[in-house]
Parts: sequence; structure tokens; C-alpha cells
Amino acid sequence: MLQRFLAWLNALAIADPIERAQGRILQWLLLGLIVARLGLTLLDALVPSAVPTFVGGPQGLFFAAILFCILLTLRSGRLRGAASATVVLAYLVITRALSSEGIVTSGITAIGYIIPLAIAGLMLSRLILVLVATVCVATVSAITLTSSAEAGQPDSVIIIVFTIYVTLIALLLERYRDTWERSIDMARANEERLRLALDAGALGTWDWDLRSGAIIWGGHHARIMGLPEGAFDGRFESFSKLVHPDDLPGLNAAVEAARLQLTPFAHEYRVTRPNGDVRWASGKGRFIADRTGEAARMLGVIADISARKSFEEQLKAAIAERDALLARLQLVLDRTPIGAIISDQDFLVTYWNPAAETIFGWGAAEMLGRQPDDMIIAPAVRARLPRIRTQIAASAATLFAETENLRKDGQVIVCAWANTPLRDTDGTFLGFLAMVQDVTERHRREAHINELNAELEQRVAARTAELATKNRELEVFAYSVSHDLKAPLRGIDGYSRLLQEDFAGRLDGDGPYYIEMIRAAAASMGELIDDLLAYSRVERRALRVTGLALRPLVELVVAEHGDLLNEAGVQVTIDLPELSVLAEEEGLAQSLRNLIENAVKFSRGVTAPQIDIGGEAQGDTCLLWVRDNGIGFAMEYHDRIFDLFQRLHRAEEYPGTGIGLAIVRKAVERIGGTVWAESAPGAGATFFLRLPREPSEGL
Amino acid sequence: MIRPIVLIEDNPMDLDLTRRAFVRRRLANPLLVARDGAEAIAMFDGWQSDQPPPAIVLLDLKLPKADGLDVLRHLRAHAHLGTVPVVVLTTSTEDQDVQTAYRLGANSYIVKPVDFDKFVTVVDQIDLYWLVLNHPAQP
Repeated sequence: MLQRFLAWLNALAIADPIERAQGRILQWLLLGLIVARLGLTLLDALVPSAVPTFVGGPQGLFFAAILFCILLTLRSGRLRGAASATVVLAYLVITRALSSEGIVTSGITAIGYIIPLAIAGLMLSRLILVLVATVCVATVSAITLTSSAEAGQPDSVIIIVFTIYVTLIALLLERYRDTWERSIDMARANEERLRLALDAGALGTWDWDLRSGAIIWGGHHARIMGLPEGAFDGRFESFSKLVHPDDLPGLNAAVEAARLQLTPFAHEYRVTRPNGDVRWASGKGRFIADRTGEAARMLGVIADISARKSFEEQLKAAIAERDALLARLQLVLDRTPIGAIISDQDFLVTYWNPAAETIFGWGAAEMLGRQPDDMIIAPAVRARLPRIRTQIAASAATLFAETENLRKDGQVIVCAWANTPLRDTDGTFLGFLAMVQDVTERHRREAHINELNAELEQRVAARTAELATKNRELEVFAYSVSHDLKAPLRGIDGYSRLLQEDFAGRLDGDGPYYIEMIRAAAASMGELIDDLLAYSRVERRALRVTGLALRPLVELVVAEHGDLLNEAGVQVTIDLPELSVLAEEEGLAQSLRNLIENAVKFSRGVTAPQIDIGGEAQGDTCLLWVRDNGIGFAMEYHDRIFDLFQRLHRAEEYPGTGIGLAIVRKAVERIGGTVWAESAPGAGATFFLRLPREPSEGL
Repeated sequence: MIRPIVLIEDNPMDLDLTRRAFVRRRLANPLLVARDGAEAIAMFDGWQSDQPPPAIVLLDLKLPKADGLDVLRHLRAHAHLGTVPVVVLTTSTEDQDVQTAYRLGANSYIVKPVDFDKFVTVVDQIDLYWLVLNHPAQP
């Protein structure tokens, strides 16, 4: 109990050491007075009339109590003591005044009572009260002197001593008035500094009295918890409700641990504000023990650390993301079939992935920190190594190369490299990343494929040559067959002619007619053989394509057929712009010949037969047409008419071998052209040739 | 001395018809015939220097043994008969044959027509041109 009391007293101590020393003198003085007063009172009680009545008795006790109040006031630097003294004084004045004792006694006692009034004045910084008290003491002393004389009490000496005693106290108090005021100012300044600090850090304070359970919040505590100023009722339960439910057990445990062990308390927890916002708070404080060592009070500071927490969380998330990314990259590097090797600026290996181990047979442990020259570089390449390294260090981009390399087992392999220099932001060379693939197998396969290709080409060439030979043989065969067929034919025709001439008179009946037929048959067979030879010649002729002006060629061919056209009474119009085509002169002339002959043949019997030859440029081709007003043909046959031996008419109606249009198609297609026909029975026919145009034309 | 006409022809019918065509022209020139290339070459090799050179050599290209072009080559290299006019009378219309024949010194190249009337006309033309109008070089 006493310890508690002393501790409480200590807590009220004046902060400044010097002031504390000075105050202590006054304290001892006051304590001495209290003890003396209590001693006198005790003496009065034990030995009646040993001391004057106003010194002893109950008044003495009151007096001592008042002095104690003053002492408290001194120590605390607060007005509490003075106020207490004034209350006690007022009580005494009233009770004494109402007591049955005489005015004189009350008057003398009042002197003692006025002293605390003076002290209160001092403490309220009112000098005037001190003076009033002094005057009162003097006045009451005078009255007392008078009354004492009447009562026959010889106390004048005591009164004088008393006056001196009061004056002395007044002077002493005046002496220390400044100190008190200063200490009060200082306390206020301290409080102000504390407030500034709390404001600056948006900090809040708490003061938790464990005995009463009351919590006092200061600074920004209420704001941090999201409560309006003064809305907190000071109960721990009210505070607990604002703590996030998930964090409450932890907080309670931390408080309990700090309380039991009296260790500093520091805990971070979430606060759910009444409006639903969740904030992070950091509380730091400590428990203060009483004399028994039990925690009695807790003081602490609270700060809103939401911003920091949010930053921390972002940082944590960023780090987690980075870690995950690094893990994935690591996985990629570990699992990729491509070797990845990182070297530093001195070309010492700093990274060697599992694929590199597989490719070269050297483990990472064997390679790290070494230059791999002798281990994986083929002897033939080693001499070029310094130059290659200079190139890598100087290059801005990835360099690709294929080299021969060595495996640990001495096997030579072919590797494809992609070397990328690594640089810092200033461009300083830090080393390089080499990505490598073993392409030995691919090389082998490519070589094999090349070999196969070459072989294939050779075979194709051989086969082509063989085919060309066969073709040639076939042509020669067709040619000689046609050729040799003509000799007997000449015999048939010749002898039948001789028969006709030499034995004309001796043949009768159908004889001359038979000979006529034999000769006609021989003639038509001769024609057929000639056409076949012409057809085969189109193909056998060496392809010589030249630029040809169309109109002169057409005019020439038409002129060649002048007799035929006149005989058939066919009118020919030529309407051609200046056009040049890429064609074989002979092939094209033959095609035109055949088309004109064809037109004449099928215009026979038509009134006013007419052949129109025209053409126009169409892009990089040239369209040439030969139109007649002959008998025409049904479009269902438009394809067949270009086939060999295809005829749409009986031989006696329109003689022919069925080879002429086949020759046209062959000659035109040979130079990359196309040929087609449009017609309708009785409406004439138009034959179109699309030919490649000479490129220089029109430029 | 009347210069002979040399006919080098393997086909008996062609030979006969040619002979008949010449007969129709009532030519005075004797007709010497070789039936293959080798025989023709032998004929030219055995040609006596006092014998009159041929007025014309009618040469078929497709011949057994040595072919017509060999005969021509041989004839052109002949000491006395090198300048004798040679008319190639053949069924071949091959460009190759035509060109080779001319390059070897053929004077004319005629394709034998199937039609006998035309053939007779050809013989007439040969006769008129080579035996009447043309002035041969003296050996």
C-alpha cells in the first residue's frame, strides 16, 4: 500500500532535475512542519495543558492535513493540493465559527487557517493573496493579543513567533513560485511537443488502467479506429469489436504475453472501421507494473500502417510473381532440348543447363568457372576462337553459326549456335548467352537427302534421255513408215495411169471407172501420208520462237491462196492492228493456211462466201480469229474437231484427212498458245488463236 | 558424144516408172542405172576418163548399203566427176536431208510425187532444165 502510494507520488515528480532539488528542500521543510505539528498535537493529548490550546487538539490534526495538501501541491506542480487545502479551510472556518467556543480561540486558530489560503494564492500566482493573508495574520494577531490580555493568557510571545513563522513560509513560497510556474510551463510544452509528434505521425496514444479497466485514447487514436472524437467509451470490449475478427486472437495473445512478462508490446492488426473500411494498425507500448510486480497500466502508441501494409503486400505480390516467373524460366531452361550456356566477360562459364550436359556430355559442375575451349571446341575451330569471341563482344545482335564441336567422349558433333552478347545499361560487355543445338543427325540426313536427290535427278535425266531416244525412234519409225508407204502408192498410181493411157481403147464397161477409183484412192492415201508427215514434222521441228508481225504474215498466207480463194469465189477481209506475237513462223503460217483452207472448204455452196481475219491485243496475249460464213458445226463437237482424224462430214461431202486442225492445235500449243472454235450449224464458224504477245511491243 | 543419165534407184517400180517417164520424153541420152549406193560408187570409180561424164545424176537418198548422201559425198570428191549436176529425187521431205544434201553439193532437191502425171511433169522439167538449158562444166 505504501509502495503504491510512493510510486504514485514519484509519478507526479517534477521533471527538471534542478527544480526537483530545490523543491525537495521545501518538501523537507513542510514535512518537518507536519511532523512537528503532529508531535505537538500528540503532546497535547497526553499531557493536558502542556501546550497552548490552539496548538494541540483536533485543530493540530487539521493543520497537519492542510500542510500535507500543500506538500502534494508542491510535488505535483498542480493546483489539486491548493484546491484541497482551500476546501478543508472553508470547512474548518465554517465549523469553527459555528462552534460554541469563543471568538478569541477561533481567531487564533484562524491564523493557522489563513496560511494555506496564502499558499493557494502563491500557487495561483496571485501575490496579492499572500499580502492579504499576511495582513489578516497581523490583524488577527492583534485581536488575539487583546483577547488574550482579557483572558489572562500570556501568549503574546507565541503570537509573535507565529507571525514570524508565517512570514518565513510566505517568503519561502515566494522564492519557489517561479520554479513551480516554470515546471507547469514545461509540462505544457512537453504536452505540446508530444501533440506535435503525434500529429506529425498521425499517431494515437492509449492509456489503459488495468484496475479500473478504463482506456483513455489520445492523439489520433479515435480517427485511426474510424470513430468520431470522444465517441469511444473507454472499454476494452468496445475496442475489441473494432479489431478484425481474424486478428483479435493474435492481438489478445500478444497483449497477454506482454502483460505477463512485462515485455514491450508490439503488434500489427487490422481494424474494421464502423463504415466497413479495413485498415492496418501497428500498436507499440508497454505495461507498467505496480509495487507487487503486477501490470497495472498500459501505455502505448498506435499508428495507421495501411499504406505501408498495402505497399508491403504489393511488394510481396511482385516478389511472388517474379519468383514464379523465375521458377518457370528455370523450368524452361531445365527442360528445353536446346543447350543454354552463359559465360561472363572473361568467357568463363557461369551457367550450363541440362540440355548442354546432354549435348556435350560434360556436367555443369565440371564446366562452371572454366573456359570450355579444350573441352567442347573442335581443334580445327580453336584457332579461330579469339576472333569469334571478339566478334561476339563487339556485336549488337545475336550471331548464328554452325561449327564442329567435341563431346566429352571425344566424338565430333556439328552444333548450331546462337550467341547473344549480354550488356548492362551502359553497353559494357558482361558476357554472352549461347544457345546450342546438336544438328549432327540433321546434317547427316540432309547429306543423305542431297545424295538421294542427286541420284534421283540422275535417274530422271537418264529416264528423260531414254524417253527422248524412244520418242525419236518412234518419230523416225512413223516417218519412215509414212515415207515407205509412198513408194508402193506411186507404183499403184503410176501403173494405173499407164494402164489408163496405154490400154484406154481396150478397156470397156466399168474398167476405166475402176482405174479412176484406184487412182483416187492412191491420191487420197498420198494426201493422208503427206498430212501425217506434216503433223509429225510440227513436233520434230526444233522450236524456234521469234517476234513476228502478224499482218504481213496473214497477208502473205492469203496471197498464197489467191487462186484457191478466187476459184471458190471467197471474199477475204483482213482487219488487224499492228501486232507482234511470239511464235514459230512456219508453225503459225501452216496454222493460218490450214484455217483458211478449212474455211474455204466449208464455205462451198454458200452464197457470197466470206472470210474475215481479225485480231486484237488482250493484255500480254494476242487474239487472232478466222471467221467464215460457211456451214458451221454444232458446238457439242467444238473440242473434237481439233483431234487427229476427227471429221464431222462424210468424205464425199467435204474431203479431208482430219489432220489439218490437229496440226493447228499442235503448232499453237507448242508455243504456249491456245486454240478454240465457236460455231452453230449454218451460222459459220470462228476459230480463235490466243498467242503470246511480243513483250517489247507497246513499250 | 552423148552424155548418159545416171539413175540411182533401189525401188524397182520407181525405177521402172522413171525409165518410162524418160522414154515418153524420147530422150537420146543413154540411161545408166545403179540399184544401191555401193553399186553407184563402184560405177563412178570405174568411170573411164575418156568416157563422157553424166549429163545428170538422179539420186535417191534411201538406198541399201551406202545411202544417197554417201554416194553424193563420194561423187563430189571424184577426180573427174566432181562437177556433175546431181538432182536428189527422193520421197524424204526431212529438213535435215535437204540441208545435208545441199551442203554436200546437190544441185537440186525434188520430192517424188505420188501422182504419176506430176511425176512425168517433174521428169520433163529435169530434162528441160538440166539437159537442154543448163551448160555443164567440162571435165
